Amino acid sequence: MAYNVLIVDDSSIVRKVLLKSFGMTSIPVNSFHEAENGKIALEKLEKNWIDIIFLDINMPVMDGMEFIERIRSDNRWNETPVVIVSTEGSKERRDTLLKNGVKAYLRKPVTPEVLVETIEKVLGPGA
Amino acid sequence: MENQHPLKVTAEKVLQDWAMMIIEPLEVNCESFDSNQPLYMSWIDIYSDGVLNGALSILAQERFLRVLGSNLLGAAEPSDVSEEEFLDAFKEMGNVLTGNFITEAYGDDLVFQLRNPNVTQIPFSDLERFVDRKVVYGFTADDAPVAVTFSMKDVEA
Repeated sequence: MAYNVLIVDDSSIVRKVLLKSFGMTSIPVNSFHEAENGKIALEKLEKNWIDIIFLDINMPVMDGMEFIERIRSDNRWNETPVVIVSTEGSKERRDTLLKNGVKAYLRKPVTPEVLVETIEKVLGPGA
Repeated sequence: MENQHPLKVTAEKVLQDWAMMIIEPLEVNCESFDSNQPLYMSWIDIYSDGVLNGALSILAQERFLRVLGSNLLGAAEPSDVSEEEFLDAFKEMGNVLTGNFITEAYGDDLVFQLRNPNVTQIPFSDLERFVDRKVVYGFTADDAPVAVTFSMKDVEA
């Protein structure tokens, strides 16, 4: 199965580097979608089927925390797996997000090996 | 020990592992950088409990920034990287360095927020005030100078 991936980060470099990391794995990807903030990410979700979301926390317009609240309150997307990719690594923040349904919390920088492990953990083995 | 300061340790790791550069230590002074080239600063504010507690800054010039952008993007040549791309890469470097440094220095228990990441050109004369800081580390990364410094109130590293 090939996946539809949404990458949400205000840095175009981060989005490109994550795309590049995906390219260094054998994860089958059907489509990549990018958004520079939570508001645009919601627009992408309205128009596209997304299997997994990689999400930054600190973004202008709509940050990652608000985005998570919005999708978790919407039946259309409340089951869509979300993986946080952030530089902020406090245990408290991590635990709060994981309790709120985030599937994994990755500290930047993310290596291709960690990406593969995370996808397999979140979407199941054989990804 | 001074030579194991978490900022130095983290900067080395970020430059080598994330930015994929070969580094050497550099004593930071006004001659470390080229006065005929623009000087860029990437900085990010560090908040703890909602209060601004400090900031981390990185100083570099275009040669470093192009190599940084090129390494991150996998560009064939540093000259293939646009200004927007290398400035974005520099801003992200501030983000990555600061987040990893805070964890290295204070552990996972410190709750912090990184805000207002920014990149700007600064007058070369401003270099002096960075050189005089208590905590400042310099490197040549792929032969281009780069310096990192931070200031933090209340919490001592």
